[in-house]
Amino acid sequence: MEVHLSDDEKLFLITGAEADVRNDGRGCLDFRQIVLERGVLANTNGSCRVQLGRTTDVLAGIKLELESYDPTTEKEPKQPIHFYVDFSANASTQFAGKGGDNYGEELAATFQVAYAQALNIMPNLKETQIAEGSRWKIYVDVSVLQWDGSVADAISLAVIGALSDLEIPEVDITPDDGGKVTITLRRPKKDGNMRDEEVPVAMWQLDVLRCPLLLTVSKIGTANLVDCTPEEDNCVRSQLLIGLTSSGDDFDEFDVTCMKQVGGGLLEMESVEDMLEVAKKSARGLHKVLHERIKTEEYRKPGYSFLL
Amino acid sequence: MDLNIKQSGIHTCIHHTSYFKNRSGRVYKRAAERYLRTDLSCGYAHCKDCKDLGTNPLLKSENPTKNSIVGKHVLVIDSTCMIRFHDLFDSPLLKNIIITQTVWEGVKAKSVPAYKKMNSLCYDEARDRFHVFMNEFHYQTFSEESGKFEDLSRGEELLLSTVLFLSSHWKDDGVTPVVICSDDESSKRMKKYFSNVVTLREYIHGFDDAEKKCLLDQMAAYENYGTAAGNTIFDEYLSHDRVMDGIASGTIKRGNFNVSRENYREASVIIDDQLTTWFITGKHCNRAINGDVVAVQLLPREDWVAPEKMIRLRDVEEYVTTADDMGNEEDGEPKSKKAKKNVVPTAKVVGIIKRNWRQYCGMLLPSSVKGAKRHLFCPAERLIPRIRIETEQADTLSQKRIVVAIDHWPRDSKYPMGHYVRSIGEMGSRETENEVLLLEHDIPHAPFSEQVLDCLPRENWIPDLTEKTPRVDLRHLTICSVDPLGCTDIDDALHCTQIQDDLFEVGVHIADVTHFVRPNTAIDDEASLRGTTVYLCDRRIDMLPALLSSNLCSLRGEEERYAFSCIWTMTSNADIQSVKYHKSLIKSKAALTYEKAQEIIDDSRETNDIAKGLRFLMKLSKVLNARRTGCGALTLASSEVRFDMDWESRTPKKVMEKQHLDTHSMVEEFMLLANISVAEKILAEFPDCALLRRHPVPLKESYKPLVEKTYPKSLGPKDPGPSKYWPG
Repeated sequence: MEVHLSDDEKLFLITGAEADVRNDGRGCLDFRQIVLERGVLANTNGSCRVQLGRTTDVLAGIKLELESYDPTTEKEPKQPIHFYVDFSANASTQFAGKGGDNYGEELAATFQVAYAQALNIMPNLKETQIAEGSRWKIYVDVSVLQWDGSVADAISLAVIGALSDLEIPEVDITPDDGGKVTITLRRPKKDGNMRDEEVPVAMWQLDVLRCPLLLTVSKIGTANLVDCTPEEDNCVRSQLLIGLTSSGDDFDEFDVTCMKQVGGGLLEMESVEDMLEVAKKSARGLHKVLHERIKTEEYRKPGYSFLL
Repeated sequence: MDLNIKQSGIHTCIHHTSYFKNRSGRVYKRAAERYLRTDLSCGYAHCKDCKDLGTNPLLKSENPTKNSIVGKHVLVIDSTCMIRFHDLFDSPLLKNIIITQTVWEGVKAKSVPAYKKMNSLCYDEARDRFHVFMNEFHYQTFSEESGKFEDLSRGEELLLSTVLFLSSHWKDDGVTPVVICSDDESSKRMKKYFSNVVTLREYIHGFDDAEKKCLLDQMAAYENYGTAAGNTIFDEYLSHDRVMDGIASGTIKRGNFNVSRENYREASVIIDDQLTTWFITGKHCNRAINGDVVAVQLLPREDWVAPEKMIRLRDVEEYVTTADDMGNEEDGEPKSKKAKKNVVPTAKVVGIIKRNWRQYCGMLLPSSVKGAKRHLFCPAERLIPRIRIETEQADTLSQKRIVVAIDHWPRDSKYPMGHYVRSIGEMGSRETENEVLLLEHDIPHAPFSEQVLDCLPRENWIPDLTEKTPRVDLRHLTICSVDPLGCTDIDDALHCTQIQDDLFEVGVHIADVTHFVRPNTAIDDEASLRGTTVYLCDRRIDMLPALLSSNLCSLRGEEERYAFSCIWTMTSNADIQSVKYHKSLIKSKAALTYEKAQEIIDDSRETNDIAKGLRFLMKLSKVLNARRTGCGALTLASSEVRFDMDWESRTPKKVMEKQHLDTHSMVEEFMLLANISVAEKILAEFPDCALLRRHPVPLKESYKPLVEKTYPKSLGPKDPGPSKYWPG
């Protein structure tokens, strides 16, 4: 949905933003209504769907894979999370055909950077390293179902949601031929002569408390806005995509994990600092509601999927 | 849920998730929707609720009531009962039995024979005694994970949720479900939650029937049997680090794993230069395969055993064992000869350092389950265990020789797991069997490559008399070759002429292959890879292309060929006066067979140069032979066989041992003499790079088996003499 605004409309929007009143009635630091729902795809190892203002719609699914590697050449543990972003051709007319591919790759690369330090940020992520020569790989596949602005922010929420939903099987390691190991899924209950795969497997989950949030801060006139609609995007002078992770567990102080300028425009250093402040301020609130939601969410009953 | 769906008997939909690891090591999550139903029958014949829902065979006639605690009852058995005692259920005394879906699936996965039995009982032979209850699809008994029964196994948990439902379902009818389990432990655990739990043994004991004795006897037969189902058979390997530490500290040794040719359950590992051998038997072999480099650890002395000293061949012992009885892969552990006599250091394999797996030729063993996917493969090499493979095309493969590769050997499997690679051809056909022989012995037998063929001289090659290298023209000599019948690669020829009264010139001429095969050419590399020409019954796998091996480097009669000659002058006492070595150009006058040569020598009418030469050679060879044996040379008699072929159909008619003629030893004697003379020359000329083969004096340990065998008969060499008694 490409938006074309006349000069007067733009002027109206910009002056409104500068006065902290946006067209839909929000203030500059307000998000649209966020809907976050996990466990939406039964066939993934973890999934999450995020809607912003009922229109931007993002679905993240995680596929786990047991990977074997050569421990002699790879001594350092590798960050196991990999991102792929796909824009559904239906999300907006601009993504028709292969239109979204470049943008998707760009976003995936940004998330890869934002999560580059994930091993330090997520305390138990290194446990994906099962044994010398074997590790879990976490593939996060994001599909943008509908685009109505602020898609990076929505994806970052969906990724955190999916990572918090991810269940990783616990394994037992037994030595095998020639220094290799055999990995078996840990089934704490004895089977009592039933089919092995029907016996439940013990699972563990990642600690996502400090996963980075990615926020887009846009400069419209002199105002800094979060969660822009496509109309607002039209009037943007310059945009920054900022990845923030909480320095402690209290969501008070934040470290920047990545920063990327989107689109054109020039920025003074001073403005960058202002925009960072804005990002931190909204991250504080967003972090709190996000983890509140993750703690308290009740999953839908099977058979009531949003896909139906 | 929509109303019309509800009316069709569906209660709810749940997600059923299971995790499993496949054979290639990937971990999968399987999520499936499962529709729970309200219309699954309980099986009780007089149940009001279920009377319209399928056949309800149970309690049409009651169980022998005397036996147990309760009156009207239905038996709900666990899967271990079925797996271990499935034959007992033939008895009509055991009736009104419910098999839950969980048990059904479990038995199917764990034991094929039990599954076959169960299937035929439930749907064929004894339909009136059995009922299959679909507990996992029933809306009140499905396998929800509840924390209620924490100490139970998953199987027991599901069984209990079924009987708890049934007992409330049948409350008004006065019917009680009774859980029948296989062992006391399990019974004790389940009794905490449900009172009517008995073991199968207790239940049968309760019968007031003459036949119960028979059942109990049957049960006893199975009791010390089959507990291993699902258990791991082999010990875990030690981790690589621990093996390495053990080797460093000397508690663990490494060596090649050699399976005994006489007894497939026994093996030995030579652990040091002194040929110290550790003996390994039965399960201690721990998944090692002949040729693997293994880490072994000595067992405590009280566990040492003596080798069985009997021949055990897998083919004979496992003849009746077909592919399908995988549940009962009972390894009748060799009755460990606890006789404390003659025990030898016995060890166990604690790790595999390097696998020696390759691809194996062989055939599938017939399977008695029709359409089964899992099959046992029997390798042609008998030191290799059978291999379990999965294939959909067993019917087509059953008559073929196939190639199989081993993938891995899990701890809970008697056999290694492998996969089908390709098929060679029809079993029993000559091409197939030849191919198997070649593959099994790792003989390169592909046609020669372009590069190799490019190294060949032209077909119409003639000797180049202007060649720079000095080559002595010996075409005037009366040279002849003596070889077996049908031999096309004549590599040696001889001549002998009298030059003075008591002085003979004797020559051995060897085909000069090095003229055609230059170092570091493709043809040289190929030849060194092949190493030798291999003779099969109906064909030959050449080391060099036929143009060389049976033409240009074959010293055929009446053709000019390059050779290396070693020419002696010697007296009639075979005292060598002088030796010459040189390259030569020869023209053999006759290519004889051993038989023909013998004939010529024996026939006094033959007086030409060839006959004379042969007679001189024969005389000299006898002198040489006598001298050599006098010096203590050892004759290692190995019989050579010859095939009598029907060349039309290329089928062998019979095999016979080659007859030994004097001409054989005549040729042999001169070849030896040539070798000796050439070796001396090489040592004299190139002392730095002369290769000499030396056999060290055998170790005392090597005599041990011989001494042990002969000592009681006081024949034995108690102290091995000088090495001249030893081969070589």
